[in-house]
Amino acid sequence: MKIILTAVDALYNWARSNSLWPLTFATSCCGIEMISTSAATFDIARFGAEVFRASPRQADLMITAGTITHKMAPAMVQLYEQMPEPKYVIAMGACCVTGGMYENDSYSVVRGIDRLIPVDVYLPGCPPRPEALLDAIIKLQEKIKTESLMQRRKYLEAHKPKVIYSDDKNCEVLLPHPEIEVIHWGVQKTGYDKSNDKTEVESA
Amino acid sequence: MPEAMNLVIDEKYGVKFLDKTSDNVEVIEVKPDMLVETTTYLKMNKDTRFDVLLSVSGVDKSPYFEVVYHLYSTVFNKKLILKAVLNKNCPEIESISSVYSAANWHERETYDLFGINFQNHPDLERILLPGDWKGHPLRKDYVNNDERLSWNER
Amino acid sequence: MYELYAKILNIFGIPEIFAQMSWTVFPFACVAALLVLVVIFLVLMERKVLAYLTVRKGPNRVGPNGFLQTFADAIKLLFKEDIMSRDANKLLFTLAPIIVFAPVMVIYGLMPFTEHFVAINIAVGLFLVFALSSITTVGIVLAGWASNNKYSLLGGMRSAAQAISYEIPLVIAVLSIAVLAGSLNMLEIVKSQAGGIFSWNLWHAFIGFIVLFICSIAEVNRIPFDLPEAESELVSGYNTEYSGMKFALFFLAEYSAMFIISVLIVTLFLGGYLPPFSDYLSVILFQNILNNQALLNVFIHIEQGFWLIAKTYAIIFTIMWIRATLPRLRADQLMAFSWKFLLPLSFLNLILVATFKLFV
Repeated sequence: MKIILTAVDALYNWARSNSLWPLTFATSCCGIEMISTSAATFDIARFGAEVFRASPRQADLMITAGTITHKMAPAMVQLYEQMPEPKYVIAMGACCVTGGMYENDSYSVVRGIDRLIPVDVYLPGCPPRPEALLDAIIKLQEKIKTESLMQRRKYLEAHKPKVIYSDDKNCEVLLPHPEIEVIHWGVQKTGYDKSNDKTEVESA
Repeated sequence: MPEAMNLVIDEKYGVKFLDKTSDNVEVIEVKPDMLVETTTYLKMNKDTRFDVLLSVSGVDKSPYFEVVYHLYSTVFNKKLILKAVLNKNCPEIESISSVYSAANWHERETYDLFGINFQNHPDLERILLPGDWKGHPLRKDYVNNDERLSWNER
Repeated sequence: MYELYAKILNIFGIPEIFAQMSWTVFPFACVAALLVLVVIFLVLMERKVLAYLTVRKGPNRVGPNGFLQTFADAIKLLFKEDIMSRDANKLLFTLAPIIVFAPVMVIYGLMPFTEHFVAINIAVGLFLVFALSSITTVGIVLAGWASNNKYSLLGGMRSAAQAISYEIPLVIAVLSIAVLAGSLNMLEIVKSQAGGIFSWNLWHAFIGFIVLFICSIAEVNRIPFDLPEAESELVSGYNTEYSGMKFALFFLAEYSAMFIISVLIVTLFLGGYLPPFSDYLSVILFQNILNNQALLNVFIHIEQGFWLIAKTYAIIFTIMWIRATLPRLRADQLMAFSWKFLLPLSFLNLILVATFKLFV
């Protein structure tokens, strides 16, 4: 039985890794690098990924290329949740990994998208060269090829926090399986207290 | 006074010549309550046909606010910079979106980032930041206390 | 053929009645197998052709030269999660891809692939082809409406408008072929073009060929007429809410419709399975060598299939070439092009062909 499972796993993983269809999610400058990856010199079609679908229902890879601001974050999480399983995320560019050049002072940038959605491959660079994006896709393909159907289900269950957008300060994150280690968590902390705020501004 | 400029503006608008930038663009100061008449005059007068508004922006100089307008004339190929000084406690000025339709979104951005209220603006609400953001970030005394900031903490 | 089949089954001891019943299914099984093979090849061909036309290389990592890419796509789509929105109309949502795909499969049976390989050989074959191809429009509008999504609805409506506008010049252009051949039977139409490349209908009704080519690209929603599924305007149009196997059915329907439309163009205008020379190559080359007429017939059949496939793939390559080159038409340009340009042109073609047939 185990042999048959791993053969099915191998076929299934091979098929999924060689036909990753990205979602066109280009927010800012990294988007230009993503577009040039699908153009002539650095062809992303060689890896089977040139079908960029505009609708999240048909995509299974979200390459978040570009800065994610506080205004864009709910839209991005909504798009991520609309994608059907199995889905993967590549955080492309420094802004998506840790907030990038905006990490120190900006009032409007989310410091890294792994605060919002689970990320599979982090790709640093500002912007990363197209060869770097192809390298990230190859790493993702290797990651998919070593997955197993059974483990994937547990991974998915652990990454479905319920995000509550409410006006009261005491909202919290609900996790379905508290015993599984959380690799990302959701959006709101329990109560935001202004006295914890350490940002200071010198008046001119 | 107008003779320092190449263009002649009627005295009744009370403009004051301020400066000339390094690439020969003149900077004049206008009165905030006569802004709409001044810009209408500048747009329509056949000697000074400034028909394009390039940008509207705000500056927070600590004693006061300033609103800066960049105008451009396609007929004479000249640029002009207008500045209007506002009170820091009550920053209000007339909206010129009835004169230049480009001013609509530029004034929304200035309101969003500085809190300068534009009177008679058709649709004054936040454009770059989320609609329920608290505070105006580009002011010098801005402290970020929006609740979304909790997303940036672990 | 039937005798051979019955003899084989007889050897295995199966009664005759079974052979009689299952023989009728045999052509349809062949048609279904042909459809699958065609689509497998066509998906890869499109990607490679588009890539080489834009100075890239298409998929070349998946198998030798990217040969297994379609299998990877198909297996992946099979195992994707199937999402249906809560407010979508469940029955219609599931039914829409089937309505789009099934008539295309039936049209595969009507096409004459060789002289004896026509699954459904009826006297009004041509008429039935266009009657069936109109059903797919219903499927697309259903897909747009049942998704409960405003972009899908817009896409479905635009597709319906486009499909019915482009069907009218299409049918009038094809009417001229019926006038030329004197019959609506597909085999008769092919046989009336016998005699080498200069007796194909292409020369007798050239304007009609142009009109049919353009209208058939519009009927299968290919670029430059793919407004219903335009990515930049409508977030995938009527396709937006479909994922997994249902989307794979839409995908399949588009490629199989493209193939069968090309076969239709070749059958009507380019002589179907007939060779461009005055006689079959097998006859010219092998007449003196082989004395066995049955073996020669086998060679002739194979050669007929070869000519049909060669011409069809030439037309398909041209359609993909057009896709790689031209931008998309806007909605009002689309309608204006059909009603104000193609329709008068097809009428002109009909008048010319009728006059030609009457006096020549």
